[in-house]
Amino acid sequence: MTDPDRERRKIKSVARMKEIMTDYYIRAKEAENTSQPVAWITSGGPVEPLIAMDIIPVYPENHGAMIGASKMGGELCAQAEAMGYSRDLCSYARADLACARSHGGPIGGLPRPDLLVCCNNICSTVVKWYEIQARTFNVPLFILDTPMVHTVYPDSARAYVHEQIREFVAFLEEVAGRALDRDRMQEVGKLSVQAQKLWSDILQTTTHRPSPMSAFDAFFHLALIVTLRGTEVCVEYYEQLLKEMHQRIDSSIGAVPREDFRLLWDNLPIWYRTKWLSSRFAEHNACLVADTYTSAWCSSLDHIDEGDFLGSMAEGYSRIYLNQGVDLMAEKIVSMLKTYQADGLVMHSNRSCKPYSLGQYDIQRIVQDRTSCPVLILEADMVDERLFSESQAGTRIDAFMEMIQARSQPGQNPG
Amino acid sequence: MDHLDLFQAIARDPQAYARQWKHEHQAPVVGMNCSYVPEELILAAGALPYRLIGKRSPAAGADRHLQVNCCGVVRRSLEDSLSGDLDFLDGMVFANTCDSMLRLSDIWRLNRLSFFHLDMLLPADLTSRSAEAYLPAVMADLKNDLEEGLQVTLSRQDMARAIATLNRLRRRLTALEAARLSGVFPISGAEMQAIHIAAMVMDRHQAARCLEELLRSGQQAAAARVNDSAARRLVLSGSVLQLPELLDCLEEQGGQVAGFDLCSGSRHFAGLVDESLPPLSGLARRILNRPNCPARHGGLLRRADHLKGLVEDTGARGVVFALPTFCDPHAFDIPMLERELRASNIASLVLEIDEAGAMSEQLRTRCQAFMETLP
Repeated sequence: MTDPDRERRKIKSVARMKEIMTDYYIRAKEAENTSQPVAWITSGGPVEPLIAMDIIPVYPENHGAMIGASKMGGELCAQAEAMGYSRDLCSYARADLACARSHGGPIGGLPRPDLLVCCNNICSTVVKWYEIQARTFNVPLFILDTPMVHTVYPDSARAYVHEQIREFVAFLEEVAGRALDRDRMQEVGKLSVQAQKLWSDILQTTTHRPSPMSAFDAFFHLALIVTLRGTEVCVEYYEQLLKEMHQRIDSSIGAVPREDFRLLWDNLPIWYRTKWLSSRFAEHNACLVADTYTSAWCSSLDHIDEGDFLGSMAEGYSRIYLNQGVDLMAEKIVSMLKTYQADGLVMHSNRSCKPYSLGQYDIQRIVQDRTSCPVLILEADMVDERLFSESQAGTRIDAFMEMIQARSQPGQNPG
Repeated sequence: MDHLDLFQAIARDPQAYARQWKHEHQAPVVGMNCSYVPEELILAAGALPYRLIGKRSPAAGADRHLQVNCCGVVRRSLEDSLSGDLDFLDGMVFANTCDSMLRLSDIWRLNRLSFFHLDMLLPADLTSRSAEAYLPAVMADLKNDLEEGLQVTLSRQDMARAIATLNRLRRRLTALEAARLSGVFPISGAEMQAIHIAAMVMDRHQAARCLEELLRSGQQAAAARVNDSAARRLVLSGSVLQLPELLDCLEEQGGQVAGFDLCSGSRHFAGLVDESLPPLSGLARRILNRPNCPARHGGLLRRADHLKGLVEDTGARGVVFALPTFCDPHAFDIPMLERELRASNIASLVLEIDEAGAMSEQLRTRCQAFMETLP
């Protein structure tokens, strides 16, 4: 029998989202047999020029998330280990390297790439990973190098990335055999900015009590801003989703049955346990209302000039959340805890992601000093379920929630 | 103490050397995390360039800042600093290389572990035209930052003199390695490694002078066993390695470590700075031309080609990879390097070196088994 309250709380746009993503992957898979080039690109990479040139972008990291959510990560990672790759390497990379050989995973592998575009604004691992795939598929590789903004962004780095954007366009023009249409590029840039603004607005709706969606919902709805930003379908979908969020706010529909406590999530999701984690926190009347991960796809809007997208891309792509110093990341978390009136912070210490995880202990101390907010650190991995202990995580979550319950009245902002 | 003993003593305790040097010279010591830092600029500023290699085994200090899956070099360097063992450092220069080093730089800065703190934003792709144009600007930024941090002005002559000193040091090391392989100077692999490590931390003028005198004297080292024409030569490849027991073990099994493809070996010293170029351009050019670290993109097969070249140049029969646990850039390259070597009929062995850098019985057995298979 269906639970009417549960049905009421379900986000209705999900069906449309699944439709769009299915169409996207079908189109990408079919492109393998056409003359339309397929580019594999990192999740933080500059996709807009690809869209403007009708090159189909495919995201191995999005694929990695699908693999994780399908609980196929452990098996694929083990295959990569049999190929000689250390178990300590990023599980997105290991799963992708295995899929490229075995055509495994939930969709039978990704379509063969004609080119690879790698931007290191999310990590240095992607460069090594894409080097391997460039050798495997014998296709050209472009590396967009965005020096880290530890504290400041030097003029030399700004000029360097700017110059690389010019090289990137020249690279695409050579591979595609045609020139970039600058007017089309401008249109795509506008659509990208529009989608990022809508995504930001959607994430802002969770400042409301009760929160109309959770971070776990955001992890799911993120797929479009990653894979299809710069397209009309992305803008249309987020308009629909934003509308639904406002309707939920008007009708006081929350993401969880009872929201006494609001939490912030840090790092990538634990893809194979999102449902379990959501339920576990919900049992304590807690909702993870926001996260640092999904907000990264609208974090550099201040640096993008809608009127000169190509010209401002260099700065926009350099100044994303993960490509900055730990102190700047801590600032952001402290600010988010206040904005979202969070009662606690849950940090996923993700074995796969060093730039996200190393520094978390210092962030924890900064947060505790400045907000007195309790912090839980969960040791896990985003895709490789062999590195997750459900009983240990459960015990730690229970203890954390008991502490939050004991120290604060429901709904009070500790910051 | 003869020169070889001096190098070995410094390699055993580089921190004591740097502390004493600072006391005697009343001059600053500037740490550097990586072989990509142009030590010439530090030297030109009148300071001692001190390469961090990490001595102290990780303890509670580093554990409070870093997860367990962080490599030993990073953990040990942080532990050294937190424990006060690096209190002689006036400043630090961090070359931005792998993700762990990037975050180590942040943690170092946040915890105010040195008086001044500089990030050198090295390009990730050393093959691009934009990187070629950008690198001299990185050198200029570092020069300006060092001038500010050390309250000095670096003249073109200062830099040219420092470049000449480091070039002299590199030439002498190359000559010593050649003398060793020809049997003229039969020191062991572990002794050669100690010279490499000492030369990364000691007064560079003194190091160059000692190497010259060492070569001139034709001093016969104690470990004459390696001057054995039957020894099967090996190339050692990896990151920072401080495990003389590993080299001794390979040489006890009839091997001779002839190539040091290490961050604490030939990668640190390879390539000269072109003294006819303006100093900053010359320093940038050397970075582009020297053998690349796996954390920098130098082309899809450049590392394999370099390794095969080193095997050929040294007459080695195999390659031993000393892979530090949790070192992602090296670990990603291993399957490709093994494949490429196999295709050229070069035997290889991958040894994982744990965080503490200890020589286990298992490592010994694997070395022994590998040496038995070598022709």
